[in-house]
Amino acid sequence: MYTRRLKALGYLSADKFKTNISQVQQLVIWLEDNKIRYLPIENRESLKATEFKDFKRALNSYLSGLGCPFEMKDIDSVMTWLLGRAIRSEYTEVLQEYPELNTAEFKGARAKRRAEAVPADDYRLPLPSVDHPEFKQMVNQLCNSLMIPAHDDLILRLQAAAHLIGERDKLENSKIDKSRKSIGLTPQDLGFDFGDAALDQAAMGLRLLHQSELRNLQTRINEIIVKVQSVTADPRTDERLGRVGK
Amino acid sequence: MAGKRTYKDECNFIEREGNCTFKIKKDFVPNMQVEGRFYVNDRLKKLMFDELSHHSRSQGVGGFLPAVKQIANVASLPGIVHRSIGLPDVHSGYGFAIGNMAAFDMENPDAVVSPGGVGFDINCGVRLLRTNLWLDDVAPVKEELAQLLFNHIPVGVGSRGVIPMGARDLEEALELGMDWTLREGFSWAEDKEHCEEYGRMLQADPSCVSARSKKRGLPQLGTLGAGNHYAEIQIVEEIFDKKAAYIMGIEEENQICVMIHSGSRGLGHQVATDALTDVEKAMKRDKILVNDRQLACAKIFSKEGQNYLKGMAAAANYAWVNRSSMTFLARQAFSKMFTADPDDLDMHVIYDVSHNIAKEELHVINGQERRLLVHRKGSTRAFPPFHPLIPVDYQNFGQPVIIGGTMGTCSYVLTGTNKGMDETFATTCHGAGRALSRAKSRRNLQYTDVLEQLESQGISIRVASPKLVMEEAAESYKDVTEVVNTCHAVGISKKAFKLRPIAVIKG
Repeated sequence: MYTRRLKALGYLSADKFKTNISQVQQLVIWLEDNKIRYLPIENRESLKATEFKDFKRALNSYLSGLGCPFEMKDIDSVMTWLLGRAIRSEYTEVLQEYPELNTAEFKGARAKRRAEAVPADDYRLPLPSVDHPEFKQMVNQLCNSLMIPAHDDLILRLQAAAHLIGERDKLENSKIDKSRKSIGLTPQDLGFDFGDAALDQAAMGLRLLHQSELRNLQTRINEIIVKVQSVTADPRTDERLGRVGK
Repeated sequence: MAGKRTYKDECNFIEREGNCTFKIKKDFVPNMQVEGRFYVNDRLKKLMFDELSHHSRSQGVGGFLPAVKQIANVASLPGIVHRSIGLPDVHSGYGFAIGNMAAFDMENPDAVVSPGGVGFDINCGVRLLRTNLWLDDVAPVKEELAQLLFNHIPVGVGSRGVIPMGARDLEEALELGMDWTLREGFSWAEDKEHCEEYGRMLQADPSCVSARSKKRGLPQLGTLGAGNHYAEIQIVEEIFDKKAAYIMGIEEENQICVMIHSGSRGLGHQVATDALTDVEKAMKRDKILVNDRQLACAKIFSKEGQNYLKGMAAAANYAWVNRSSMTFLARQAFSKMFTADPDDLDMHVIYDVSHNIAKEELHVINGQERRLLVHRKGSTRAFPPFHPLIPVDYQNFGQPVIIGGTMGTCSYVLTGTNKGMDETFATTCHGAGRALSRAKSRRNLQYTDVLEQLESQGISIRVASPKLVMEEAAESYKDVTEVVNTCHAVGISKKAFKLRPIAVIKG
C-alpha cells in the first residue's frame, strides 16, 4: 500500500516492502538518514537498537519529537504519516533548488532551454527559404523515392508526399477485415467503357478514390452524431401505454 | 364522352410500343397535355384491359375509374411534363391510380400539386433490416420470435404506441423526422444514412398540420397500423445480382432479414383529408379544370399548395419516426430472443423507401435540367448508380428499391437504373398492387382458409384482427413476381435479390 510513495522517494526495495518489524526499522533509519534528517547524526543510533523493546521506545520518542499524533502500535498510520513527512521534506528541498517562477517566466525559461538544445542550423527550425538548394534537393529525393511525378511547384510535390505518407500510415494502422472478400469490381460495374483498358482502370481508380473520400466524410458525420447522442439519447418505452388494436 | 365510346374505340387510343410498354395517346380523355404510358406484361395486361372493357360496358357507372383512364386524366393536369406513367402494379385509386408517377414543372406558374397524387397514407413505405442470423438459427425459435415481435410492436386499428410522447415531442418529431429519433436514441447514426431523404424533409412545417391530425397521430406513433401494413421476418431466397446484394450486406441464401411496411397512420390520413377540402376551394378560385373531381389540386406556389406540401412533409417525417420506432422495437425483440446486442446481430437498415410522396427533384428533359415536383403514388423512387442523392455505399449499384410483397408471398430488392432515370424519372413499382377490391376479397374468401394456407406454407402469423386477413390474402393481389419481372424486363429497375417470409405480424 506504500509502493507509490516509496517509489517517489526512491526507496530501492519499494515493491517488496512489508510492515514487519525488521523492514519497518530499516525504512525508518533510511528515511531519517536520507530524507527527514531530524535528529543529529550521533543521536540516530538509538533507532538502530537490536532489541525490540529498545527500538519501540526509541521510535515512539522519535515520533513524538517529530510531532506525529500516532504511536508504534498503530503501525499503518505511523508509516503513512512518516512517508508523508519524508515527502514534504524532499519537496521543500527541491523547492529551494528552483526559485519561484511565475508562468511567463516559466514559459520563457522553457523556450530558452529548447532554443539552447537545438543548434541554429537544425532541420526543425524553419528554413530560410523554400528556394534553398539543399531543401529542394531533399524534397526531390523524397518525392522520387515515393514515385511522385515531377512538378514545377515544389510545395505541391511536398504536399503530395505528405498526403501519400499519411494515407499509407492510415492503411497500415487500419484493421482490414480479411474475412470480407473482394467483390471484384470491374470498370463496367462503375459505368466505364472507353474501349481502352488503361483508361478504364484509371477512371475506376479516380471514382473509387472519390467514393472513399465520401465514405470518410459520412463516417465522420456518423461519429459526430454518436457523440451528440451520448449527451441527448435516452430511449425509453413504457409497456403500459401500448395497446393492440382490433 | 367516355360513355359514347365502345371498348374497341377506346383500344384505338392505346398503342403497344414494346414488349411490355403501352402508350396512351392524347384524346383518350379530354385536355391531355402529355401522353400516358404504362408497363405491363401479358398477364398483367389482361387485368388492365378487362377493367377498361368492364367500364365501357357499364357506361362508366359505379366504382373507381379504370386505372388506364386515371393515368390519362392525370396527363390532363396543368403543368405536367414528360408523361403520366403507370407502373406494372397500377390499380385504381382516389383520383390518381395507385402505381402512378406524374411530374410537374415547378417553373410553370400553372403547375399543380394534388393530394390525390400522393395518397392518404403519406410516406407509406418499406424498410428492410438485415441480420447476421441464418434460417438454422431462427427456425427452431420461429414461433417464439414471432410472438416476441408481436408483443413488442403494437398492431391493428386503434393500437397505441409504447413510446411516451407529449404534444411538444410530436411537434418536434414532425419537424425533425429521423433526426428526432436520433436525438432521443431510438435510431442508430447509420440508419439515417440509409434512408430516403436521410429520413427528414426539410420543408416540413408542423404548423401546417391541423390539431385534429396531431390528436390522431399522438398515441399512434410507433404502431404498425392495419390494412396492408406488416412486419415480417424473411429469408433471402434467391440472389440475382451478387455484387449489389453483397454491398447491401446480403451474402447468401437463407440469411434473415426483417421488413417493416408502415406509414403515417391517422395523422397522414387527416393531413390529406384536410388538404382536399382546402384545395377544392383553391380550384374554384383559380378556375382549375380537371376531368375528375377526385383530382383536386392547387397551384404549387398558391397558399393552399404550399400548406399542403409543408403539411405533407411533416406527415412524411412522422412516418419515418414511426418506422424508426418500430425498428427500435424489432431490434429489442431480436436482442431478447438471442440475448445479444442488436449491434452484434448486425441489424443495420439496408434501406428505407417511401412509396406515397411528392418531392422536388432535378431531372433532364430534352437535354435541359428542370426542377420538377414528382408525385409518386404507389410507386418508388429508384435513383441510378452515381446519383448524388443516394448513400455512398450504394453509389456503384444504384439505390436499393424495396418491394414488399403481399402477406405470405415474396418480396424483392431491386436497384435503380439509368434507363429508369430517363424514362420514368427514376420511378419503379412498389408492391403487388390490388387485383380484387377489399369488399370482393371479403366476399370470395374465408379467413380460416387464408390462415390455414399460411400455416401450410410454414409461415408463423400473428394478427390482431384475423377476420380481415382475407383482404390481404395473396389472391386479392397481383403476382408480385410478375410485377417485378416486368420492371426488370423494361429496364426501369434491376433485380438484386428475393425474400420469402417465415413469420408475419399484421394488424
